[in-house]
Order: sequence, then C-alpha cells, then structure tokens
Amino acid sequence: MTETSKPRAPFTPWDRRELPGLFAVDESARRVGNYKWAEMRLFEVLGGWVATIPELDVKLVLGRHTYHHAWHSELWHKRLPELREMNPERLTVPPNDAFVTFMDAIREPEAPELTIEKLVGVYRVLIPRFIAAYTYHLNGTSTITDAPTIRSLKFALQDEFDDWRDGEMLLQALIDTPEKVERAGRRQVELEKLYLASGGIAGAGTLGEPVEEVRVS
Amino acid sequence: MTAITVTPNPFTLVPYDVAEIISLLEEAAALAGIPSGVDIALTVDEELFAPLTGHMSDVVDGRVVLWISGGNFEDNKRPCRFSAAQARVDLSVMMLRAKDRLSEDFAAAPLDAQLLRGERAAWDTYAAGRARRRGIDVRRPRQLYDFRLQHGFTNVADAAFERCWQAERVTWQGIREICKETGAADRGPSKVPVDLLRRK
Amino acid sequence: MKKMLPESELARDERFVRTNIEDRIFDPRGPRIAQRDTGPARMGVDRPAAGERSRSLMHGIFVGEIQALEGAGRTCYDFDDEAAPFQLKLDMARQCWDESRHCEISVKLGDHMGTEIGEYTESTFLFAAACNPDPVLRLCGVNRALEGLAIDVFNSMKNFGNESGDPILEFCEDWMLADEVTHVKMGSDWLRRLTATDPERRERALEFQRTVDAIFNLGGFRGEDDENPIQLARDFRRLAGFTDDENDSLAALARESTEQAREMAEAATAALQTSAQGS
Repeated sequence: MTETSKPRAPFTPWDRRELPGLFAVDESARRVGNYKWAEMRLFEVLGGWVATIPELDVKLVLGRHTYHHAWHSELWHKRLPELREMNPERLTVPPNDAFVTFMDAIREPEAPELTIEKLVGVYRVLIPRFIAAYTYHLNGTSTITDAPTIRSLKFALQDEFDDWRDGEMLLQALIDTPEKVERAGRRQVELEKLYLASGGIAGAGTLGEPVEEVRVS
Repeated sequence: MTAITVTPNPFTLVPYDVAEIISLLEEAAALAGIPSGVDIALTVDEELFAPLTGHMSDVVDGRVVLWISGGNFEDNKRPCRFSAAQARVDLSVMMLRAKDRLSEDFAAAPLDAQLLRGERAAWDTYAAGRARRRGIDVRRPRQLYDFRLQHGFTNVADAAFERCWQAERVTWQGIREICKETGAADRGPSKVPVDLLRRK
Repeated sequence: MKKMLPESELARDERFVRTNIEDRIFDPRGPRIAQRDTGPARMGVDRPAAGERSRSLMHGIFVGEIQALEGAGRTCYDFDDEAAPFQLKLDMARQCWDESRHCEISVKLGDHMGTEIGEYTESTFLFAAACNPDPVLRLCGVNRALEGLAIDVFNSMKNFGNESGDPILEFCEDWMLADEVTHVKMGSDWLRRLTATDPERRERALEFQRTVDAIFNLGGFRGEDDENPIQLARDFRRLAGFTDDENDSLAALARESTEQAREMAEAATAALQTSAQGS
C-alpha cells in the first residue's frame, strides 16, 4: 500500500531552481518584443531571398529556415500577452534605430551572385547573436516564474543551433577561393560594426551590463 | 557496300539534317556490328515531338528497317532542335536490336509491333546495357524505371533487370523467360497498340 | 532588396532553361499531332512513351514546386504588416517549408524515374501568378488555383503509382497531396478573412483565380475525361474547402478549354491543308 497522507517536499532534492531572476515582467516582455521583431524581419528576408538564390541546395535550406524563424516569432507573439502586454504589436519593435540600420544592412543584398553576402549576414552575424541573446535570457531569468519563456527559448535555441550549423556548412562549401574568404570577411566586419552600434538584438545590455572589476584595497 | 536511307529527305517540319543522321547511323551500325551489305532504312516521324517518343527495329527481307519518333532526336531544352547526343544513344540501341534480329538468337522474335511491352522493355535493357559498355551515354536509372513500369517494382523485377543489363548474350527465348519470371508475360497484350505512335 | 520580383529575375543555375513560349506557339507539329491518336492522355503504363511522359511531368512538378516555394517566400517579404497580416505571413512561411520539402521529394522522385534536374525546360507561368501586387489576389491565384491544380496533379500521379505498382511514387504523392489540401485551405481561409468587408475585392480575387484556372486547363490539360492527362480530384478538393458548385464550374471550364483546344487544332489542320493544296 502506498502511504498517501505522508507529507512530501514541494521540490525534489535534485530540483535546484531558484526564485530570483534578472528580469522583471516588463523587462522580459520588452526583450521578447525585440526578439519577435528581429525574428520577423529575418523570416521575411529569408523567404524573399529564396527566389534570388541560384544555388539549389541553399534555396531549399532557406525555405526550411524561413519557417523556423516564423515559428519563433509566433512563439514570442503568443508569449507577449502572458507577460501583461495585451497589444503584442506595441512591443513588437526594434530596440533602437541603429538596430533597424543593422537589419536593413542584413536584408540589403539581392543579386543572385551575392549568396555569400546573404548567408554571412544571417549565419555568421545574426544567428550567433540570437544564440547569445537567447542563452543570456535563458541563464538569467527566473527558472520558476519565467518558465514559459524558458521553454520557448529552448525550442528556439535548438533551431538556432541547427540552422547556424546548416548555414555555416553551406558557407564553408561556397567559400572556395581566397578571394571569397576575403569577401565573406569584409561582409562580416561591416555588419558586426553595425551590430555593435546597436547594442544588440534587445539593445544595450542584450548580454547584460558590462561587469567592472571591483578593486579591494 | 551498305545503303542507308533516311525518310523524309529533306525534313520539312523540323530542321534535322539528313547527312548528320546518316553519319550517326553509320556510327551506330559499326558499333553494333551490322554486317557490310545489309541495307538500312530509317523513317523518322517528324510530326512527333517530345515526350511522344518511341522507336522500332525490324529486319524485313534481310534489310534493317527502323522507325523512330522525331521526339527522340529532339533537344529537350530546345524544342525542334536536333540533339546528336540523344540520337546517338537511341540509334545505338536500335542498331544493337537490329543486329540481334539478324542472328539466330532472335530469329523467332515477332516484329516490334507485335511484342508485348514487357518483352520490349527487357530487350531494350539488354541492348542499352551493351551500348553503355561500348561507351554510349545510356542512363541506367531511366532504363530501370522503364523496365519496372512493365515488369513491376519488385526485387524479382530488379534482379531480372540486372541480368538483362549485364548480359552479353541473351536469346529471344531468354527474353520470354524473363517475362514469365517477373509476371510481365501474364499481363497479356497491351490495350493500347504498342505501335500506336507509328500509325498516322 | 526590392519588393515585387519579376519572374524574369528568378535565380537559377545553368542547368535550368526557360521555355520559350514562341517555340511552342509556332511549332508546326502542334496542330498535326492534335489530329492524331497518340493514345489515352490519362497516365497509365499502357500508353505510348509512358516512362518518358511521366519523367517529363515529374520534372514539371519539380520546377513548379521551386516556384511555389519562391512565391510563398516572396509573399513573406513583399508586403508590409498592414497589407499582409502577421498570421498570413506565418502561413506563407509554413508553406515555404512544405514547398521546400516538395522540391526535395520531387528531386528524389526524378532520380527514381531516371530524369535529371534541368533535363526539360521550365515554364514560369506559376510564379507569374505569384507576382500579383494584391496579396488577396496572389493568395487566390496561388493557394486556390495553383495549389488546387497541385491536388489534381498529385492525385493523378498517386493513382498512376498505384496502377503501376510503384510504391515510392504512390507514397510520396500521397504525402504531398496532404500538404496541398492544407495550402488550399489556407487560401480559402485568407480569402474569406481579408475580404469579409470588401465583396468587390473578393470578386476580383475570384476572377483572378478563374483566369489562372483557365490557363492551367489550357489545351485540355485538366478535366474529367480520358483525354485529360490530369484528372479533377473532386473528393480531395472538397476536403480542401472547395464547394460542389466551385468544382462543377471548374469542370465546366475545363470542358470548355478542351473543346476550344480541339476547335483550334481542327482550324489549324484545315489551314494547313488549304495551304498545302495551294502550294
């Protein structure tokens, strides 16, 4: 017979989750709104690029990834009302104008011979930063109060890792001359500078405030 | 001395060059080992276009009598234009089958218009495999699919295909046995005449 | 990147060659063949050149899937959030993934049938329907007309797979058919939602759909008779949300197209005979 009246602790001994987190409800919602905006701009341009890319393998991979990022934006769209934002469009915004400039630059290449430039922007600049921003949020938010965001972050991160690997492998296959190495490098530097100026997907503090060493005399 | 004739001469609906076709026929005849002195007559139906393709190889009164759809010679990427590469493949297969008919091995074989579809697919595979080994750019997957359509998508059919494809010598009796083995012989005559495209 | 990409700018590698429509229209063989018995148009192992005709159709499906992918992708990009609601774009993104898979399936099926990428020419009619600047018209043209056609094509291919005992073809076509039913439902749903208060726009969209349907009935390509290679798949269309009235009118349109094609062929043959007698 199982003893049903014996009290048990609410947390198992191995469940080490804690209440405190870095983000209040408003801050979590603000970040989620920024994520949604960036994922939307990303899936739109991936879809738009499909017709401009002559490499069949790249075309088909982008078709798949278009949906992944659309789905992330849907996850964030659904999360916003749960974070007290009843009008999700209000927070579906970029963090600042500099980030808009950065995303415009990512979306700018059109010509069929610019596949490397298109892929470098997404897979060597933007997606690694999604991975960083999502990981920071995942590691910093309250594991108990913000669990629904964590669940979505984990789903999104899994896609981001997989998509980053797909894109990076395509790039490695396409970059087959020293000149193309330079082209890819130039494009990456150009975009990283713009990203730096924006502060990140969620603006300044995307990865937290800079940590200053405190000297003890 | 072999006399080669091509009909029509000249072509009026498509810009095919009779001299170029004769040259390819000579090449195919040499590849198949058609004896010198055997006359060859090729009729091209220039009204037919891709994908309405088909060809037939018969021996009538000691002459090689060939028929082919103009679609077989047509460049799929450029309608109406002649594709020497495609023509080379089909003429080689046709000529190898004609050579078979000149031998005792196929003496009992009926004319192409009377063959069952399964018999024809097996014989084509036997010819295509040999053409491939003689350096002709025959595409095996295409041949396999056409074989499967008539013999079934089964392991038995695939094994039969492999035997036909690899063989250097098959007889008409061998073709019929393969059809029995795969079940193609049980399908009976086609509801649609196999030479329908040839009939005007 | 600009909005609204014309079909002439679709990016392809060197294997792909566009259909030159003049080649087809002015091909003197066309009217002659139209007067000849080339066997049943309906797909079957007994019809002449069964393998070659299947390969040619499979390649047509493959390039059609590429264009469907490109069209859905452009709908994600071409419109701002007001013209095309967020949820509509999500549906189009989902369609991108589906069409991308269909391309992959079609390539594999092409290998299975013995064809190669770029072996036949590519017509870009399908993408042209995806270039309409009004998202509702685009959705009607693509998701209702073309994806509706895809239901008919895949069902015909599936039946051919079944009849020829080809389990791979039958299996794949059945899966693609399931996706296409979903895409048509998306189109019907968005047509209803976006034109709920604008009946005039709805009528324009339906008219555009009829135009696209008519293009793809051309020459009796689709219908319900043996002379139509692609058979109207009424049951699956019903599942996708087409009403019986819509299916009836499409069937009538298809019969009309078949009849027109026959009349044109007869007229062309008569003209050829007259010119032959005169010369």
